[in-house]
Amino acid sequence: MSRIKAINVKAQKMAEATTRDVRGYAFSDCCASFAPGWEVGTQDDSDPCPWKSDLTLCWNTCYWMGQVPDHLSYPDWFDECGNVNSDWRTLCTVPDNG
Amino acid sequence: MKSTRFVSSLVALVLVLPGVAVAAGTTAWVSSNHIQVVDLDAGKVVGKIPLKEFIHDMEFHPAGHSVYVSSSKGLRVADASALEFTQRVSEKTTGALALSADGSSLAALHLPGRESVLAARRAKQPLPNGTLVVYDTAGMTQTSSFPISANAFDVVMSPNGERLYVLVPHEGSVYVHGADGTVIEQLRLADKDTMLSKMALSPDGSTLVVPATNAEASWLNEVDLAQTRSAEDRILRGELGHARRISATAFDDDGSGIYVTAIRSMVKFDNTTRLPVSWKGYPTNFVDVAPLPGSDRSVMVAPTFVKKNGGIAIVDRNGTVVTAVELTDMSPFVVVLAP
Repeated sequence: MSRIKAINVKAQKMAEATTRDVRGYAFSDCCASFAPGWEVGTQDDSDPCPWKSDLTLCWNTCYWMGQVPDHLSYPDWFDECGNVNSDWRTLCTVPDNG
Repeated sequence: MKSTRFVSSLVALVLVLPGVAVAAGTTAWVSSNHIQVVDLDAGKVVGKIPLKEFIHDMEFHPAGHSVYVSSSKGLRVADASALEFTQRVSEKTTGALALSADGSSLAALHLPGRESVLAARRAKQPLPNGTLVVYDTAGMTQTSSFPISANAFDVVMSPNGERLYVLVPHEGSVYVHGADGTVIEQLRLADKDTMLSKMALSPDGSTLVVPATNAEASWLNEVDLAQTRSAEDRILRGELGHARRISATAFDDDGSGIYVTAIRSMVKFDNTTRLPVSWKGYPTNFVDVAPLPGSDRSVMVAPTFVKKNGGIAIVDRNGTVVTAVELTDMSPFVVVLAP
């Protein structure tokens, strides 16, 4: 950030902001979600539920198309993943619905 | 000496080959997209069944001869001794399973087909229904079949097989069906901002436990099915003392206690006093739990147990880990115990 110069008011405000950049929030009936995209809790605590342990729960119970496909549209998504620690790359691509 | 070493190596090799009979001893079947069978006494993996389909649920027949396995591509029956699948009952994506106490009836949640789901979403129409099918396990023939919500997530069956409890988290409800599919009752348990998780039914069928989590708290909805309490006390709320998402619940085989695994913790409730017996925090997430019959110990599984693998832990009545077994190249999500 120090190498990027703020050139307008909005950018200056962002540069001066002291709020933490990790925010956690929850969908109404679904899994916790994360901004900017890693695991955080509702109190900004880090990694309350490692994605590797939580992934199937999100997939099974949510329609969370931005980050995890749902099990109704993609029932095969986990088929090639026996071990999320070593097979996680197979989960990174969600097929195009067409 | 050389031949002895060779024989030992061969025995070790045979023990982990797919399709090889399991030695006697208490075994746990654990699954991700395949099954591994763990001898709990020896603390070793004694067999594997390959599949390459994500396994949503497993149920052991009480006689111990068969295991019913639901996956992304169907419902199968496995021979518990031969460690191989003997029948593919359905090719539909299958979610939760439930067995009657005598093992004569199996309920299976078959999800709607992918193409029909995608077509409905494109057309912005309601999702097509799934199907709940009850099978006679003697021949795996259908005895009843009826539509259920596409979002149905779990099912439990009364010990006599006459009631089916279907959880639909998106509606905050449990639907009570007769064995023929008749809707007897809708139990409304949660608002929109609450997530309901996998249920547990007491062995005598008198108490249904439905876990719930929202932003402030996690608790158990304890539903009196035997009508021993007044109507206003029919559903009691047991607080877990945290707001961690609940993964699994299970009753002791004698119905005396309820185990609840949540994010990095396990709580055991006494079913009589409804007070926590033990509360244990862990550095890892145990996502399923199966109490050992006739024992105060239970088996729990964690998808990430050590650096590269998942594993199982046997814990005592206080939740203290007694034995741990790392599972080679597996992230287990479901555990069932051989009777």
